[in-house]
Amino acid sequence: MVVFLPLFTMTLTLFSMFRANSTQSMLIHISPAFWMEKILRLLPNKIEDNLKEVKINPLLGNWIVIKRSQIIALAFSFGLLFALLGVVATKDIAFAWSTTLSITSEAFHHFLYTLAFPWRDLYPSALPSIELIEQSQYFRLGDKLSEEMIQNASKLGEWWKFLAFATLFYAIILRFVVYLLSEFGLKRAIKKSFLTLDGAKKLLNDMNEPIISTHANENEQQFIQRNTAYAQMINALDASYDSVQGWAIPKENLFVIADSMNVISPKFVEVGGANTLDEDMEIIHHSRGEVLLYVKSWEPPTMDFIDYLEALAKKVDKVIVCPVGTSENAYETEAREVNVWARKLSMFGSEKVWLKSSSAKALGREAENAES
Amino acid sequence: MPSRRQSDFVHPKFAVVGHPNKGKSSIVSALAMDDSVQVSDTPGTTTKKRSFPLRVDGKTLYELFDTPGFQRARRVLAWLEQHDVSADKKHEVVQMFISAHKDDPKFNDEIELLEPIMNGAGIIYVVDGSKPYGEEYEAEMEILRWTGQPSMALINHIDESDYSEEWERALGQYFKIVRTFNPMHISLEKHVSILESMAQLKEEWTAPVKESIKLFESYHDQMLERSSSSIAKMVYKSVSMVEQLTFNGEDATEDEKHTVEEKYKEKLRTLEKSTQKSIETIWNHDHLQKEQQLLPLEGMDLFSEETASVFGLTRKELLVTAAASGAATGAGVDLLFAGSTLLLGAGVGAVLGGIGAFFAFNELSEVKVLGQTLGKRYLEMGPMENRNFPYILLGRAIYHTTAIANRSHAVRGVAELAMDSTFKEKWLNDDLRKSLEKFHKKFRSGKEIETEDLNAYESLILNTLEKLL
Repeated sequence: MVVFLPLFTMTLTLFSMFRANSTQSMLIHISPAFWMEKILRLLPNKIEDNLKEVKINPLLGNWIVIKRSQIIALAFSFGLLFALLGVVATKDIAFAWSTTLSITSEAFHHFLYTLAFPWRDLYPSALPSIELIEQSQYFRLGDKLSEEMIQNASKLGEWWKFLAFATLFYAIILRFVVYLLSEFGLKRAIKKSFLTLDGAKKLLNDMNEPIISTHANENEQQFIQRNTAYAQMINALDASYDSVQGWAIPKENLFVIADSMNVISPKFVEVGGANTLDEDMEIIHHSRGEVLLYVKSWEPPTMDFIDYLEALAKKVDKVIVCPVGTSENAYETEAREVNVWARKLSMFGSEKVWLKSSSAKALGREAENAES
Repeated sequence: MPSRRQSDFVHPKFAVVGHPNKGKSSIVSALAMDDSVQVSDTPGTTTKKRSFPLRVDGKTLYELFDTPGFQRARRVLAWLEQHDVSADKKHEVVQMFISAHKDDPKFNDEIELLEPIMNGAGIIYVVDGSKPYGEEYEAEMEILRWTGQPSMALINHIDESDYSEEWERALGQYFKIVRTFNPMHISLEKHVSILESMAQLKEEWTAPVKESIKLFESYHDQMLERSSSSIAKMVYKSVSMVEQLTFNGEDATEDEKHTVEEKYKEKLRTLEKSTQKSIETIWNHDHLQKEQQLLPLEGMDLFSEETASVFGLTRKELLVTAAASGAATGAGVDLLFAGSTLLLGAGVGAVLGGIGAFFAFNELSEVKVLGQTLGKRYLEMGPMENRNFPYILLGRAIYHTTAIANRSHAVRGVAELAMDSTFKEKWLNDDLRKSLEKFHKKFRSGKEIETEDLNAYESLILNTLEKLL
C-alpha cells in the first residue's frame, strides 16, 4: 500500500501534468484539490462573491490543482510515517504477510529486494531477510502460525524498518520530487498565463518597441477669442472719396474694384505691399479728408497694416476700411473674413476708422448673435 | 576630429513659418500627429513658438517648430537693409536684429519665428494656394533669405480655389523645393513624401530624417497592430460577456429581468466606448469629439433586414455562414466514419447550423434563471446568442478605426461617423465571413479562449485593416 498507491497516484499526476496545457484536463477532476474549490464556492457570505469574481486562467488552474494535490499527498504521507513511528515506539506490534498466490519466500524476498533498491546498501537491516519473511508468513490454515510465529515473535517487529523506509522513499521523497515538478510547472504556467492577462501584450509591446513621441513638450497657452462686434460699421459706400487706397492692391486693380462699387475719387494709390515704409509715410503725408482703404478680405490684418492705419487716422478725417474678395468672386466677401477684420479693428479702437460690412444681412445676423 | 563632430551632432530642426493664418499650425499638427495644437481661423492664435520633437526612446530625431506669423515684415527688412553687407554676412545682421529687439514687444512675433531659424532650423515656409499671390509676401521671403538657412515652401490649400501656379512661380525664386501639402487630408505616403523633401534640405539631415521615415512607417504598423488587438479583445469580451443578478425569492420579477438586461446592454456599450477611446489614443486623437449612432441593441427593429444590411449580415448571409460552419462540424462526423455516412453528417450539420442562425437572429440572449446556492437564485444574461452581433460590432469597430486612422490631426470639429451599407462590402467577403464565424462560435461558447485563437482572430482583423488603409 505504501508503495503502489503513491506510485499509482504519482503516475496519474505526471500524466495530468502532460495534459495540463490543454484547457480541460479530465484527470484534474479526480483530484480532491479540485473539489475543494467547488465546495468553497458553496459557502455563503462574501467568500462566494469573491470566488465568482476571480477568473483564473484555466491552464493555470490545472497546475494549481496539481500542486495542491501534491501538498495534500505529501502531508498525508508524513502523517503516515509519523503514525508508523509512533505506533512502533509506543506499542509492540508484529507484522505478517500473506497471499493467495503461491509465492515462495525467496521470490517475495527478491521482490522486496527490488523495492528496497534505494536504501538496501545503506541500511541492510531495513530489508527483511529470507528468514524473517519465512517466519512472518501468515497461513490461514494449519498450525504453523502458532508455533513458529510465536517462537520468533520478537523478530516479527523487524518489518517496521522496511515499512518506514518504503514510506519515506516512495510516499515522501518521490512525492517531494513530483511536488517540485508541479512547482516548476506552475511557475512556467504563470509565466505563460501572464501573456494572456489584459494589457500584458500591450505592455510587452511597449517594452520591445521603440517609444515614439511627436507631441509638444509643453501645453499651449489657450487663445481666448473675443467675440466683440465692431461698433463702427457701414453697410454702403459713398459715391466718392478724397482718395482710394489699396493695402497691397496694385493701382490698376483699384480702378476696377472702385468701378465695380461705383466709387469715384481723384486719387488712387497702392499702399503697403511692395512699398517701402518711407513711401507709405509720404502717401500719408499727402492724404486728407475721407479715405477709402481697400484691403484683401482673405488676408488677416497684420500689425504692419495697423501701424499704417494708426498713422493714417491721425492725418485724415475718416478712414473706411473696405475688405474685398478675389476678382474670381467678383470682390464679394464672406462674413467670416470681415469678422476677422472687425475683431482686429475693435482692438485698435479709433473713432475715425469705419469698417464696411460684407453684406447687410449676414453681418446683421452676426451682430445680433454677438449682442445676444 | 570625427569623434568631436559626432558628439556635436545636433538633430535637424525645422521651423514652420509664414504669413499669419496660412495653416502653419495645421501643418505642424498633421506632421507631429498632435491634435492638441490650437488651430483657428483667427490670426494670431499662435503667439509663442512651440517645439514638437520626434523622440524615439528619448533620443530626438528631428524637431518641428510652430511659430507665430510675420507681423511687421517690412519693418524688419528695412532694418536689415540698412546694413550694407556681403551675402556671407547677412545672417549676422539677422542675429544682430534679434539681439537688438529681443525686448521690443513690437517685434515679438518676428523674434519668436527667427530665433529657431538662427539656431539652425531649416525653413518650411507655408502659403495658402487657394488665395492669390501678393507682393506683401516678398518682404517675408526676403528676410528668410537673409537668414541663409536651407528652406522649402509648402503650398497649403485652405479652400477650393487654386492659385498654385502663380504661387509656384513666385516661390520658385526664393525656395529650391516647393511642394503642395494639404494637412487636412494626410496619408502615410504624403507624410513620408514631405519628410523626404525635408531630408533634402541639408546633406547631414538626410540620414536622421530617413531614419524618422522608417520609424513613421513602423509606427503606423504598430498602431494598426494595437488597434486590431483592441478590437479582437472587445469582440471576444462582448460576445462572451455574462451579466448576473442575484435575487431572493422564488421567481424573478419583470423588473429584475429588465434590470439584468439593461445592465448587460450597458456593459456592452461601455466596452465598445472604451475600446473606441483606446483606439483614438493609439492614433493620437485624444481630443476627438465624435457623433455616431449608439450600438444598436434596443428593440427588434434595429435587427431588421435594413439595419442588418448596414451594420451586420443579412439573414440570408447569416444563414449561409452558419450553415457552412455547421457543415464543417458535421463533416468531422463524416470523417470519423470514413465517409460511410455519405456526407450525411455535413448535411445534418448544415441544416442544424442554419436553423440555429434562423432562430438566433433576433434575440440578444435570453434571461435565464439559474442555480440555487443556499437559498439564492440568480438571473443570468449572456453570452451573446445573436449571431449577427459580432459582425455588427466588428463592422463598427473597423469603420471607426479606419475613420480615425485616416483623420488628419489638423482637423478640428466633430467627426461624424456614419456608416452605410457600402462599407460592409468593402471589408467583409465570403471567405472572411467564414473564417470569422469559426471564432465567433468559440466566443459564444463562453469557454476560455486560448491565446493562439485570439491571435489568429486578431490577425484577421489586422489584414482587413491593412487592406482598408
